[in-house]
Amino acid sequence: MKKYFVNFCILSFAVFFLSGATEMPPAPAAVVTKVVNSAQYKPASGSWTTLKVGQALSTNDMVKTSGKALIVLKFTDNSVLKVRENSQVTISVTKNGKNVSKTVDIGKGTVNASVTKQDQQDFKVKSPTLVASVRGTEFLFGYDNDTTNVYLMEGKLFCEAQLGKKDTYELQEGMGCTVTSDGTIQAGEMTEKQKQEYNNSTKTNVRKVILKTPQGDLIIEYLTD
Amino acid sequence: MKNRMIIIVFSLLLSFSAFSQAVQIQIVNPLPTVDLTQFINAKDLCGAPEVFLVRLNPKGIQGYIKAKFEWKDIGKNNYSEVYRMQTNPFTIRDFYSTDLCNSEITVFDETSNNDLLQDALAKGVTVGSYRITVELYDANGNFLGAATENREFTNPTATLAMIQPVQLMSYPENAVPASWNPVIGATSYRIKAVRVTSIPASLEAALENGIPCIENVDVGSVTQVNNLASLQSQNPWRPGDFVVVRVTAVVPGAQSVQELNSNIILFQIANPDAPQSSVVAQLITSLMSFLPPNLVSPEVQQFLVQYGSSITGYQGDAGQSINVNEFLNILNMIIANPDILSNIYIQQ
Repeated sequence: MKKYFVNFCILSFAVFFLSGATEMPPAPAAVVTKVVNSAQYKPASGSWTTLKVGQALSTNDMVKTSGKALIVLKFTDNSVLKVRENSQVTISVTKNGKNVSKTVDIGKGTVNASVTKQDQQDFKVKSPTLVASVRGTEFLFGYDNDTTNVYLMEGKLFCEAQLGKKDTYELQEGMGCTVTSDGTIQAGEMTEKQKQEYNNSTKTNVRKVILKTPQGDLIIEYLTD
Repeated sequence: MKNRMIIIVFSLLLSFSAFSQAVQIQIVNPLPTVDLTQFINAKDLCGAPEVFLVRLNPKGIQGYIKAKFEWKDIGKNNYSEVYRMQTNPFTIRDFYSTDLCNSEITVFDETSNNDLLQDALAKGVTVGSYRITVELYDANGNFLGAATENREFTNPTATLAMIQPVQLMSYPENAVPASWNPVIGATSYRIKAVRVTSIPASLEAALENGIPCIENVDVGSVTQVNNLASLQSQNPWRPGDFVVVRVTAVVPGAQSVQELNSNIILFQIANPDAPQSSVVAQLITSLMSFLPPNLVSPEVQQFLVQYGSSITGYQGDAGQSINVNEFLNILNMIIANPDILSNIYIQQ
């Protein structure tokens, strides 16, 4: 009896370790297609390293940017996320049968999102104060100082405040909203300044002008559409 | 009986739908990029810009259109008719507004409100709400359909632009020329300038909030001033300063005075005691203030101080040579929108 028990324990340990050894890595949810200036990557279980183009991102992976840095991510459904400067973002994907839920969690900073029409899928962008449910739309989502700002250029966005009064609001094209930590949503037409901010957030192509001197070249890089 | 009623109602709906589709107006140029006064000023619509496309149905039969253009001032309730016209019969087809002058579609009769046109001419651009209505008739005068299109026009196109000083150029302290294009109907021009010690993030904010060195000085109806320095009264500029300047045209109208602002120009006062600080080098140094600290390299600042006056040329993206004006235009674009600045570094 004792022998059987010992064998069972050995088998259990073997199965446990073997299953760990052959466990498939989580399927990538997005891939990094562009990095401008300094950006970093942290896998779900790991530490921060320099982010490079081509890095696949799986659930609970994080990326962050410093000043004047930019990351462009492409999801498997062709949705594109432009992570602007001084931002930190966590990607998570959960599957439930045919339904796939993608969540972009903005710890701080700003993302410009161009989300393709979701079929049997769910795409959410959230901050500590707001969750926005997306169904094929283009918008800018920023979180700083306990306040979330959203500027919607195309489509519709259902917004749910996460704290306090927990206001809800369906944002229409051309509108923006501010969500504060008391759970109120203040929505209105986008101002010219906000439109300019949105337009700037879409720019990802780096162009340069060069100032030539006998002692070397000075390069000035700037972003365009 | 019930079936007959359904057929009648259905027929009425169909005919209503057909009528509502008989005429469609589509504004083809985004407003307010179109100066509609050009349109209403144009006799027979010749010379008017391409403003709208009219889609007409049924096509291929003889018919004619009546069109009218109305204008409503800001804050008013009623539209005033600016222009009304009727074409000669033509074979019904889609057409652009410019076709009314340049094709087989010819004007049979037209009337215009001369007072309003004169007012519009005097002001240059008339703001308010515009309404275009097009009605379609067959050759026998039977009404086939109509459509109306409204547009708010509250943001007049800038028709006043400063020619001098040239954006980002450097001028001697006591020789800063200024000139601008004339505005029809303007009786006088006013100049405002503010000096700043570095390139401001917003030229407009700098002009509005800074202490002026030229405080809305009325220069009469001239369109050039030989030396802006002579207009200074307080807080005068010094060598090395940057200056933002704007001219405003004063245009008296029938009921009110309209003011039209020019673009804002940023220029620099030359500093003869600091030859190493060429304008370009100083501009780039100023641009660096828009970079985060981790991207600001002391080597770049040192490089600009040491070699800023020995610039041998400028290159664009693909290594092609560009001239100083093209280079300054790009710097100007970045200064106007510093968010797009990505990095500045040395390559040796």
